[in-house]
Amino acid sequence: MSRSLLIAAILLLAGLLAGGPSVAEDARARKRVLHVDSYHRGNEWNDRIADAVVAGLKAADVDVQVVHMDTKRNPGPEFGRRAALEVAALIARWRPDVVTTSDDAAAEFLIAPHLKDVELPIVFCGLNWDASAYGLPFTNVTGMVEVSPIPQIVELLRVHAKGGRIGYLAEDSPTKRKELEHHERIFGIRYDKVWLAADFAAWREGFLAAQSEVDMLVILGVANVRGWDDAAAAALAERSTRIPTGTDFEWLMHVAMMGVAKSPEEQGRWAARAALRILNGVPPGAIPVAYNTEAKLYFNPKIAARLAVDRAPPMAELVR
Amino acid sequence: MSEPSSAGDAAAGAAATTRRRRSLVGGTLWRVAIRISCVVAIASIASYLHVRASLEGQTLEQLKVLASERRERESAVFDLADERLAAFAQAVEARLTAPADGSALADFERLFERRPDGTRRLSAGFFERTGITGIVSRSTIVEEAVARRLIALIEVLEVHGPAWQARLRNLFVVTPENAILMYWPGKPWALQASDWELYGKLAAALGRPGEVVVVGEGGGPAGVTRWSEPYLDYGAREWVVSATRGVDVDGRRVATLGQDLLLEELFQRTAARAADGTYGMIMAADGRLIAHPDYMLAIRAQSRAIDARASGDDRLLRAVGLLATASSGDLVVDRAGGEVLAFSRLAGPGWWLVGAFPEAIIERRAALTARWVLLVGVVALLVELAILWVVLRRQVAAPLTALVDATGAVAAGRFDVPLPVAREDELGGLARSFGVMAGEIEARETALAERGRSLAAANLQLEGELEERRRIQAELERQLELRALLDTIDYGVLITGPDRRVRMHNRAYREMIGMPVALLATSPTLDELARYGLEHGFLAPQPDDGSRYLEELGQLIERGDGEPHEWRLASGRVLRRRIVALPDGGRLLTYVDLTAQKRIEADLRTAKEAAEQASRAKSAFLANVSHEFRTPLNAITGYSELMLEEAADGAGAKLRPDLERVRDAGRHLLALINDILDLSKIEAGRIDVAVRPCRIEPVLEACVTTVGPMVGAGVTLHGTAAAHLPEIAADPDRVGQILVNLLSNAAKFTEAGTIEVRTSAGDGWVRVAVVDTGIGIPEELHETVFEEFRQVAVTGGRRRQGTGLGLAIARRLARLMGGDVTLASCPGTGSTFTLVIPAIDT
Repeated sequence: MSRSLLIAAILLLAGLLAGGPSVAEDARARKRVLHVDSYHRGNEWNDRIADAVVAGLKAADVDVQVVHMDTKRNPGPEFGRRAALEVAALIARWRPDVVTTSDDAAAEFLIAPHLKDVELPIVFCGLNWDASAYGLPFTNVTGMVEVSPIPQIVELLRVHAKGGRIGYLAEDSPTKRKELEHHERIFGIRYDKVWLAADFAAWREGFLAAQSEVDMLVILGVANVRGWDDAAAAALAERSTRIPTGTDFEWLMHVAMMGVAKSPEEQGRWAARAALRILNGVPPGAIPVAYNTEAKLYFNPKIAARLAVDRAPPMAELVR
Repeated sequence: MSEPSSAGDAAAGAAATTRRRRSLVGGTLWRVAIRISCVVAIASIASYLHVRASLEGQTLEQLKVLASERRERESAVFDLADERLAAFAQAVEARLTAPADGSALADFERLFERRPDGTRRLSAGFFERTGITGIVSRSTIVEEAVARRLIALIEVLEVHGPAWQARLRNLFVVTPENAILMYWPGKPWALQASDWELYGKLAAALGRPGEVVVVGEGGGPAGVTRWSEPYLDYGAREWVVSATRGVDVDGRRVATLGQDLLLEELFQRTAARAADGTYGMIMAADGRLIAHPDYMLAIRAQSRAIDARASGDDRLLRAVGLLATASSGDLVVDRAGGEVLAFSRLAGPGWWLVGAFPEAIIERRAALTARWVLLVGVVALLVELAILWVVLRRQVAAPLTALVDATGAVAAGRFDVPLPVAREDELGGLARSFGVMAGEIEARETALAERGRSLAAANLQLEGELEERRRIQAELERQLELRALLDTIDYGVLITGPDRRVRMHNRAYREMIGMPVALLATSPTLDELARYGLEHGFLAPQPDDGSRYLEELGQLIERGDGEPHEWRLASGRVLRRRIVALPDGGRLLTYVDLTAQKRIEADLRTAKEAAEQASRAKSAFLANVSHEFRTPLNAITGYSELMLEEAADGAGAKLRPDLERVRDAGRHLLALINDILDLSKIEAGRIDVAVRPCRIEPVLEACVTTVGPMVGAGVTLHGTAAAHLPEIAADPDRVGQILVNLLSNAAKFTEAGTIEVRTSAGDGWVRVAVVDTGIGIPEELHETVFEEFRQVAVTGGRRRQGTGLGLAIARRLARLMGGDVTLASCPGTGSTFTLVIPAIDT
């Protein structure tokens, strides 16, 4: 950390710890909410969260500003810390009444190190599985964690599976490794076979192996799979699928037969509502941490045809 | 009389056949069957309609009862939860308002452990003892009052939890300080789970989907049980609905009580589809679908009630529409969907239990009943028909058949037929009447038969007389026709009977003989006619001995052999008479007038004799003259040849052409004279033909050798006799003359090809055929070539010189030897002249 950044951080923390907005600021006509997006504009999931936050707040005539930490395109703790300091400086300058954040980087690099137990209310969302990993919640923090509807997916796959063996295929990342533990601890789901792919070749290999080694396959995030090729993955799935496959992301439906996809808008709406309640005087600690419950059912008829499944579940959205 | 009787039998038989076809029993059974079938069909339809209406009413009533019972049954657990929460709230309120003594903080610290995540939780040992887990948020500041309340709540929970455990799974308490206490034996709910899992449940239990829950506000107004949306409880891994109730003390919320009801069994009981098509579903009051057998995957996937309007299912949409105006216990018939919907509102969350009963089930049951009615009706019909068949057959058909047979027997003339006269009913009366009637018919039939026989005899006699009259009439007509016919012919005809009396004669007889008509009209005998002829000088010459003449004539008449005899009359007529015996012993005498014929024959004989005399004179003259011509001609040809030899060279050489013409003309004239001489000899009968047994082979060989030099350069001559030819009876010199003539003719008229001599034998003949490939002769000239002095005008001949007598002489010579010469030819393909000579049988 450079010296200038360090000074800025000290100043910021001093300001935050010193108390809330000044008297002059209290008289501001419009409340301010800063939404901190861990990633960049263009990341569909986070964009949709941010849009929902902005829409919910603007409907209540709240002044909203969105800032991006861009940690998806710049992985690594150093960049995260620098981005967090820049956001902290922005907070010190703009003095929002509530800060909302989306995804893990903001919790890890901004909330936990800089905004713990300060007066500034924080509402996080899009935090995968476990807020406690970053020490959350603090007294000034509440939010909505992001849970994948894995039991629902497995239940759908069991309808078409010929046995009970479940496989897990995802990117090789700490997040996905940890998610395995969550699946077992929370849902009681134990995977008979796990493939964690660092690159597309490994993913392909895992996909093909799963067709004969398990009876159903849960396919999760691939954002960190090197050389990921959407078209090739879709072609492989349409050509080689022999067991029911499911996913929790809408944009992975081209490689899976069925999907129960989470809704980013649910996260954004909830964060906006929580921010509004806080702006109306509810302390963050009185708002229990929530988790997402909305989901949408998807069905890929091309892949389903490989299993001779020609009828989509009622009310499922078909993937073309 | 027998024919009418047969016709009557046939008619009776046909009538009997018709009666058998139209059996009384069969017809009656058929009509009865038709009527009963109609009755059964109408009864079945009426039964169907009645049963359907009845079933529909009964079903609706049953559905109503069932829906009510189900509503009560399914509501029980919600009522129980409500009741329990109310009791629990009372206990909590009482406990929290009771005076407190001592410090609760020590107890709090003893019971709650501090965890690394900053939360404080009830220990595992406490859970094992009491079934209670608990968590206090890291942000909660636990003061004496908070600790006291938590300890008090734990105490109440310890008492109330086990009391209800048999019916309800858990019981929990949430405090405004973000502390949660959960009684759930067997579920270490708050022991290990992350705080978000625990507090996340609060959001689901206390709020609506998407709602931000504030702990101090949770549970709604105090004293009222509030129900959550159904949700998947990750901690319990179950689909649950939570009931919560707020407890206020001094106007301040001090706790929110709650409990979960597991939904899986409720879903299985209510939202399932039975084999008969009935099914149920659970809907929220706003029409959202909570459970439905066809949409459970979508509901579970989305973890919440779904909007039924998004399903696009018309039946479901109608149910939603009907729900808007329905009251609990309502039964609504959805005609478009073909089902009856029973709406029942459950207690607790106020969900609607909707049972769907397809109308098709009612129709199936009604149809089943109708089928049973139909089946029973058909069986009854068959039994009834069988009984009716037996009764009709014994009581009606059999007596009637006996009567019918009796009728047939009477019609056939048999009157001793047994009838069922012993019966006392109508059929017995009918049989007795029939017997009386049959007796009367028998008597009448006997009288009629007698009268019929008399009439038949008279009729037969009349027919004989008529037949004789017709025969006489026909004979008269035949005689008139015969007489007219005889009068038209020019032959005289006289016919006598066996008694030799003239039976018939014709005009020509009268005119030829001149016998008077008056005499003939008396039917005289032949002897009388002969005597009349002798007496009146009809014969020429008149016989001297009339008796002998009559005797010879009588012999001829008796013979009647048909031999012709000439008979000359004094009038000059010459008649040819034949006497023929007739089959009845009579005689037929015919007379043909030969007078004119005899005169012509005499004239011809005279002319012939004159002609033969003239011919003989001509032939003698020609023979003599020819002989006189040959002497100087031989001198002329001889000298002309000597002069040609002398004029072979020198000055005489220029005379050679003239000398050659003189020689050739002389030779031709000599040949002509020889031919004329031969012909004359033949006609005059003076030619010498010495027929004797001889062989044809040497003659043939000599002829081929002779004619060989005459054959043209492009012509091949073959002439070999066949093997095993028999000898012939002929003059070999004349045979040679004939063959040389035929071969030389072939040489003349064949420019190219072959001339072949073929021999064969059979049927008493030897045939020698000269076959050439010359110009041929048209068929119409085949006989002309054999006439004297006739040369056929043909073209293409190599040498046309000749006398025109050769073939005529050849044929005459052949015929003199008993043979012949024939021709077969066609223009362009050649000619075949065949000499046929008698063979000698060996």
